[in-house]
Amino acid sequence: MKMEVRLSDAEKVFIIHGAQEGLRADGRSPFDYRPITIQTGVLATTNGSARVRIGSTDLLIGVKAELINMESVAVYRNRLNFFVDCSANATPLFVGRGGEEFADELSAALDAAYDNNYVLPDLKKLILSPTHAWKLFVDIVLLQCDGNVIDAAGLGVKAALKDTEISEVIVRPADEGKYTIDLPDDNTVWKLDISRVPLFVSVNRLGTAKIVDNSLAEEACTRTSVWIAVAPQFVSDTGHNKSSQSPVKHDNCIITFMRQCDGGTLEIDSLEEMINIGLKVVGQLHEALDRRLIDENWMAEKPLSTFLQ
Amino acid sequence: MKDEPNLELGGLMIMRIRGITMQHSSVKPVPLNNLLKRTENGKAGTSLGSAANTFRSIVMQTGALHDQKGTVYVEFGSTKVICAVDGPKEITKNTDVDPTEGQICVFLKNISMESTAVPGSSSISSKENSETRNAVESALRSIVCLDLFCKAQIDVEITVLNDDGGVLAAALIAASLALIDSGIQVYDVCVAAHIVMLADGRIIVDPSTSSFPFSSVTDSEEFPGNAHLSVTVGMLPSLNQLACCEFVGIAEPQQLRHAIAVAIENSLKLYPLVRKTLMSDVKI
Repeated sequence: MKMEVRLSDAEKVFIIHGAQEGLRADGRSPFDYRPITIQTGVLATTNGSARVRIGSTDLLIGVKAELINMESVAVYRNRLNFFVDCSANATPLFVGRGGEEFADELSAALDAAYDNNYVLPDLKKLILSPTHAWKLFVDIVLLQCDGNVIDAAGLGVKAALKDTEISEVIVRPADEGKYTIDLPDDNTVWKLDISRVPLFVSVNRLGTAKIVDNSLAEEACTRTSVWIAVAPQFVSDTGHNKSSQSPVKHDNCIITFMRQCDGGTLEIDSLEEMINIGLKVVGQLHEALDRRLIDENWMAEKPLSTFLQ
Repeated sequence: MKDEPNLELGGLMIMRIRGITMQHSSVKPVPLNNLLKRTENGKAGTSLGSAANTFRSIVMQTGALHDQKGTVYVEFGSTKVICAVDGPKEITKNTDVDPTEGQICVFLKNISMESTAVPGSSSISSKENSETRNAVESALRSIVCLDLFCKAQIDVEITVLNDDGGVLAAALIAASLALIDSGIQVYDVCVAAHIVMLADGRIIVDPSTSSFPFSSVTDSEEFPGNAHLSVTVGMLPSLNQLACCEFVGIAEPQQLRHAIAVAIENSLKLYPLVRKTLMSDVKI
């Protein structure tokens, strides 16, 4: 489902010709992002939270850890659980059940990108006993929609996972093979290792041009899109690859999800070119986000970290 | 010593030949060696049939439900899909739609998943259904000449009778055949293929879930040396364009490119079968 903004044909021609000339309506080049604002710790009642704004697109992400009983470790699906709520604040089209299709599409993409053991190695620490485990719920609220929601969701989930704190617990064996869970006296918490968490890039095709970070007007002119989720690869992995002496140049990244969406067809060469653009852009996104999260870590205990910022 | 058994066998054969000749002079005896060779050839053919680079047995039938046009049954091994097309008709949704183009609505129902539903996995299966539905709708929007159906809606109902892997590929083929069977103008048919690259680098074309379960077998934290991925592509063969491309798993970029190339190459092999299905419908 596309969040339609009504454009005339002349407006679409203007936007497409501008994109093909390397200029966009707001003055950006094809591979520029709008200003991105990321805050973490915006919700006190969650284990981890983040707020992401790309231009006027606004997302609020909360991570909650819940201690659950399970029948067996073998059948338990130890993964993140994503839920997307398309708030009617974003657009009147989302009133009632209007945003369900888009929300399902987003949560399915996030589920698929995180459905492996590589991106979050700390998932195995969530298993506490044969019958107890932490279950992580990642809730995403779409507050305002101005295009490129999937990139904002990827950035926000990584920032929220960075902010996530999970309590240390004491596991004691009890009678009949069962276990009891106790909290220690000191409020010790541990954090997830997010160095391998993937980020999303949506590469969009307008006419013959390929751009990233669609605004809502550009989404109305988009012929087709490719969503790609890329996780960084570690130096040790690179050493392993170098020892294998592969003739192909390594991009030092791992693709965990890729999908062509929004209708429209693609030449095979165009798909490969769009994948290459996505890989290049997502590398820059990873660097910028890591820098931002480190800066925010230094500015801990900020006095006025409010929603009004 | 060694010559005596041969003589005996020869004698037996001579006796049989004489008997046959006395009763039916026109019958010619067939040597045993040739029979053995043919049996071996048959066995070799059987083993070749289950090789990793071929599709499972495929059945495509238009007019699956005799009371209406635009119904198609597609079977890939144990994966069975029925697709029905309703339309073009008046728009039923109240959403603010583009008045110059038609709308495509895809409804996906997975019967096999519902019957064996585990309570915990119901949300996961519904998300997978939503993902498949979105991918099929996106592909159909590029296949159908939507500008010919302004202010109209085309409903595509896909029912998965049994799921043994490759549902998205079967649904894409069934949906495109159903649209053509109902007389809706399309740019091209859609051929689709689903492949899996195992951890040891082997590529399996059209795997069944029971034979090659696609779960994260590698539990190591480090990235495995080889990819472990699943790729489904939908192609417009005459235009040589991709209508759908979906990748799930974990891979390096060049491994993904190689997997996409193999999937595209194998999807084009289905074009003669799709064409034959439509031609047989014309004969009827």
